[in-house]
Amino acid sequence: MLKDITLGQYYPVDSPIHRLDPRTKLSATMIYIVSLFLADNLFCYLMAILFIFAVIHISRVPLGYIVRGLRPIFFLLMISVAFNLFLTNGEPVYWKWGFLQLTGTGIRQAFFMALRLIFLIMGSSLMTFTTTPTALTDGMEKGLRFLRVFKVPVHEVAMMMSIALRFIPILTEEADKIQKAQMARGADFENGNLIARAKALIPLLVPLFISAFRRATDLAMAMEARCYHGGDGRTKMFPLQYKKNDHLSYLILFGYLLIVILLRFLF
Amino acid sequence: MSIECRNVNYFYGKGTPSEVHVLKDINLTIHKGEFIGIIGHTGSGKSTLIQHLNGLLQATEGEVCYDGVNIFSEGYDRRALRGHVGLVFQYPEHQLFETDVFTDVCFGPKNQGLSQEEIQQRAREAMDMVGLTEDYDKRSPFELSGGQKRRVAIAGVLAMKPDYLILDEPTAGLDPGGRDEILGVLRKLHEENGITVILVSHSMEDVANYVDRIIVINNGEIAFDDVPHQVFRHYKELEAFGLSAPQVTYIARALRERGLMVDDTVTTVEEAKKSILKALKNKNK
Amino acid sequence: MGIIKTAKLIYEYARRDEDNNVVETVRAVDEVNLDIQEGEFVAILGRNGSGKSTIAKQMNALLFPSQGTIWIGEKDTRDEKFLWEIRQSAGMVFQNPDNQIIATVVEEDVGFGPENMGVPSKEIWKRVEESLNAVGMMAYRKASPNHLSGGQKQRVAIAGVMAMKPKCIILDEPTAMLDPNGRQEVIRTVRELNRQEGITVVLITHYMEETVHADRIIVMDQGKIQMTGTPREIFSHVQELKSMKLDVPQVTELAYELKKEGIDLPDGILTIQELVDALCQ
Repeated sequence: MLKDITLGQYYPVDSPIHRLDPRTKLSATMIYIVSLFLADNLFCYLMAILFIFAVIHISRVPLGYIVRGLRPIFFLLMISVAFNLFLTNGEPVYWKWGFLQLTGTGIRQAFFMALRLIFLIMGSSLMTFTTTPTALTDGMEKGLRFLRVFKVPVHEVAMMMSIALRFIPILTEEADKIQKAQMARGADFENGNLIARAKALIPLLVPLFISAFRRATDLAMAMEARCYHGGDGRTKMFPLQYKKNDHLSYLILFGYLLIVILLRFLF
Repeated sequence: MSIECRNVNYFYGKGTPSEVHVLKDINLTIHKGEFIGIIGHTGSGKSTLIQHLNGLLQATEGEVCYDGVNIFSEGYDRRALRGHVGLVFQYPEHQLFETDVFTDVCFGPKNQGLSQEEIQQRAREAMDMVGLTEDYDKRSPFELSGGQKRRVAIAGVLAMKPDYLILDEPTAGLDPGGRDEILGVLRKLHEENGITVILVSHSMEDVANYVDRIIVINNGEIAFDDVPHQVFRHYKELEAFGLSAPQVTYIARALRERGLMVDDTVTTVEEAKKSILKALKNKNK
Repeated sequence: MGIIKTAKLIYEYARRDEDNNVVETVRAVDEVNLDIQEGEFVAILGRNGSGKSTIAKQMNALLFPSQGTIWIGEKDTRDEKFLWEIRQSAGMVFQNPDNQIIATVVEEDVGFGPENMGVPSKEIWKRVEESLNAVGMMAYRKASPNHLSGGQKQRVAIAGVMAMKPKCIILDEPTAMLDPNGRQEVIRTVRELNRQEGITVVLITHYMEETVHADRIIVMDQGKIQMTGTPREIFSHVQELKSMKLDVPQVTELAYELKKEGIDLPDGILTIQELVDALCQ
C-alpha cells in the first residue's frame, strides 16, 4: 500500500544532522551525488560508502528504515542492472546470444551502476529523513534565491512543494476511501486484463481529481483570507541562519569531495 | 436470514509497534427487517465494524457470517455479497463520477453483470425510492444541492437491490432540511421496501427518533445493545463514552428530581410531551 | 458605525450552461442591511443556500458586492488599498478543517498569517504562543495537523486567525463537519475569545443550539434577513423557524408544544433549567 512507502518521509528524532541548516543538507546532497558520479574505482566507492554510513550513524535514523525506503526503486534498479549487464560491449566476452552478451566490462559497469543508484537514493533520502518538508522548502527557497534573476519563481515552487507534502497523506487516505466505496458498489480493481483494470480506475480517479480541485479552491481562498500575496514582503517564523556546525559540515564535505577526487586519479 | 459477527477482533498494523486493537470480541446478530442505530464517538471503531459486514475488511480473529456462511470461507463471492449488503460511506457524494445522475446510479447494477434492461429498470426504481424523478436523470450530479447529491449516492447503492443497507453518518454536514430529507428516505425504505437499515451516527436525537435498536460502541467494544429506552437509561455511562442522551431525556430526569413524576425513559419530544401532560394532570387532581 | 456594516448589500452571480451562456442570474444576497458592533457575538442562521456564507465572504473581501456597500472598520471593501488591512482585521475560519491548514506543523501554520503580513520573526513567535494558548492547543504546537481531531484542527485554524490580531472573526459553518464533541469544543473556544479577549464574533451556522449564547441572532432565508433579535426573541418563533427548515433545540420545541396544549409557559425557553423551573413552580 501507499502508506508503507518510507521513501522521503521525515523521521522525527533529534540529532546533529537534523539540526543542520536545510541549505547545508541540500548542498551536502548535491556534493554527495557529484562524488558518486566522479567515483570510478572501488576505493572511491568505499570512501562514499564509509561517508554515508558515518552520516547515517550520526543522524540516528535506523539503517533498516533507510533500507526499507529503497524497496520502491528495486524494480528500477533491476532494470538498469540488466541493461548494463547484457547490453555492454567489452572484454572479455563470457556469453553471447543475439545482441545480448555478458562481458567483464558489463559486469563491472552493472555493479558500479547498482552501487551508484543505491547510494544516490540513500543519500538523498537521508536528507528528507532528517529535514522537515517545511524546512526543506525554506532551504530551497533561500538557497536557490539567486535563480530569481533568471525569472525562476523560486518562492512559488517552494510553496507548491510544501502544500503538496501537506496534502499527499490526505489524498492517499481519500483514495483509499473512494476505492472502498466503489468496491461496495461492486467495482473490481483486482481482476481482468490491463485494459479492464485501467478502465476500472476511472471511478476512482475522477472523484479523486474532483476532490483535489475542490480542496485547491478552498485552500486558495483560505490562504488569501490570511493575507497571502506571494513571496514579496513576507517574513519567516524560522529565518535560516548558518551556525558553527554548518560551517564545520561544509569543511568536512569539501574535504570528502577532495579525497574522492584524489582517489579517482591515484588509482 | 441474518448477518452475524462471531468473536470479531480487528487489529490495525498487527505485529508492528503501532498496533491498535480496533475491535474487541464483537458478537452481534443483525436480523432481517430491523432498523438499527450504531452509535459511538469518533474513533470508537464503528466505521471499522461496518466495513466487516460486507467483507471490505477481514477480521483478524473471529468470523462474519452472512446467512450462516462465513464470508471469508474458500471461494465465497464477496462481490455478490456487496450487492446484498449495501454500504454507503460518509460523504458518499464524493464518490460520484459519471456525467449524469442516471448513469452514475447504473454503476452498481452494471458491476453485477445484469442485462441493460434490468440495469436501467433497477436504476429507475432506486431513484424513485429516494424521491428523484426522471427530471433528474440527465442532470450533472455536480449541479445538485448537498442533500440531492447524497440521495443520488444512496440510490447508487440501492440500485443493487440490497437486503441490508448500512449508512455511515448519512446526515453529516447537511442542514436540518437535508437531514430530515435523508432520514425520511431511510424510514420509507425500511417501512415500505422492507430493507434492513443500519444507521451509524453520533446524533442521539436522530437515532432516537427512527431506530428500534441501538448498539453503542465504545473503545472497540459493544457497550450496550438494546431498545432506545433502555440504552438511554445509561446516560451517565454514555457521557463517559463522550456521548449523550437526547435532550428530552435530561429534561425528564430534571423534572422528576423536582417532583413531577414524568416517565424518565422518554426519548423523543412527542413522548416527553405526552408524559408531561399526563403528569401535570395527575398532579392537579 | 459598527465594525461591520452593510448598506443594501446585493450579490448576484450568473449560472451558465455548457456553452457558457448565462441561463439565469441568481441573487444570493438581497438588499441586506447589517450593523455589527465591536465586541458583539452575532450568529447568522440559515439553511444551505440562504446566502449566509456569501455574506461571510463579503466580510473578508473574498467576494465583492454587486450593488450596495460593505464597510469593515469603516473601510469600503472595494477600495483596493484597504484589501490587506481588511483581511487582517476581519479573520475568517472556514468549514472544512483540512482545506485551510497550510503547513505540516501546527505552530508553522499559526505563523502563516503573520508571515504574510511581514511581522518580524520574534513577534511571530510571541503571537503564535499567545494564540495557541488562547485556543488551548499549546500542547500540540509541534504536532502534525493530520494527527489532530476535527475540533482540534478548527481550533488551530482559529489560532491562525488570532495570530493576525484581528478585530473580529468570521466563522463560516466551522462545525458542519465535526462530531458533537468537536462542535462543543469549537463553540466553547469562540465564546471564550469573545468574552475574554473582546473579539467580535460572527458565527455562521445551521445548528440552532450553537446560537443560544449569542448576543444577537440574524436569521436569513432566500438572501434576505428574515428575523433579527436576541436568542430568546428568535426562539419564540418556533413555527417560522421550522418553515425556514431550521431546527430548534428539543427543549424549546417541547416548551412550544406544551404551550400549544394550553400549559402556561413563557416564550422562547432556551435551557432545561428554564423549562423545569417554569413547570415546577
